Amino acid sequence: MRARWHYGTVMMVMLLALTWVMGKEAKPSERDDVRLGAKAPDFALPDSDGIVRRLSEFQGKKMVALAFYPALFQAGG
Amino acid sequence: MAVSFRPPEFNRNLCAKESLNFFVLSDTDRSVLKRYGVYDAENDCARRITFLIDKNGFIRRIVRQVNPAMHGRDLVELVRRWQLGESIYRDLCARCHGADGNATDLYPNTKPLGGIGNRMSDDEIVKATIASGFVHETVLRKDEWQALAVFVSGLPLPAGEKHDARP
Repeated sequence: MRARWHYGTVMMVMLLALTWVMGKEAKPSERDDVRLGAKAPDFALPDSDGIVRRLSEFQGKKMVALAFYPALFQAGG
Repeated sequence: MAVSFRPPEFNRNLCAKESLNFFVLSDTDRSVLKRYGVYDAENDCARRITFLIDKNGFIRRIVRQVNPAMHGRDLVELVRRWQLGESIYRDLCARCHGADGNATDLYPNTKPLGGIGNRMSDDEIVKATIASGFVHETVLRKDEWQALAVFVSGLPLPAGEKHDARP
């Protein structure tokens, strides 16, 4: 197994999942500056318990890994 | 049409094992995906990209080759290397480049390092550092050089260079 301090790594993994939505096409988007070294755009999104999480709430506390991934959709029967 | 996304339990287990805090967030109108430039319009979903963001909110690393099965472990390893790089940077580089990499007045002809990873690969950063002659190649092991590049590549952009929206 890994050395103990690996487990102590202060890191927060957030996964952005797309839930389904019949939403209208959002307006052509203005992309923020997301280059290396840029300030990460703050956001407020609900987690799986419905609690709104902001990127900024971790500032000064932890590193954050913001992991985007394609939603895994399943056709319901 | 009934659509759902996979319950987060699977990922939660992995993260509990790795002692990572973990949230699954919903971006139903895709606005955050778009702001981060990870929206795949063709498939109406997110592209698989991970941003590592430091305590001060700066984007320090962008991982575009994500192996989903390994990602929790890979991230732990990435943070470990980043932290090693941070301590090497502090010991060898900060004296002239400053804590944030953007000092220009601590040593003659020093250029800001902020955002250097946007124009140079890790290998190029290592080569350029060795070529500069300030740190001899043998001072660091290979993995230490790599860790240093991981840390340096995402140093914060110099003030005033923050409004370019290209990645």
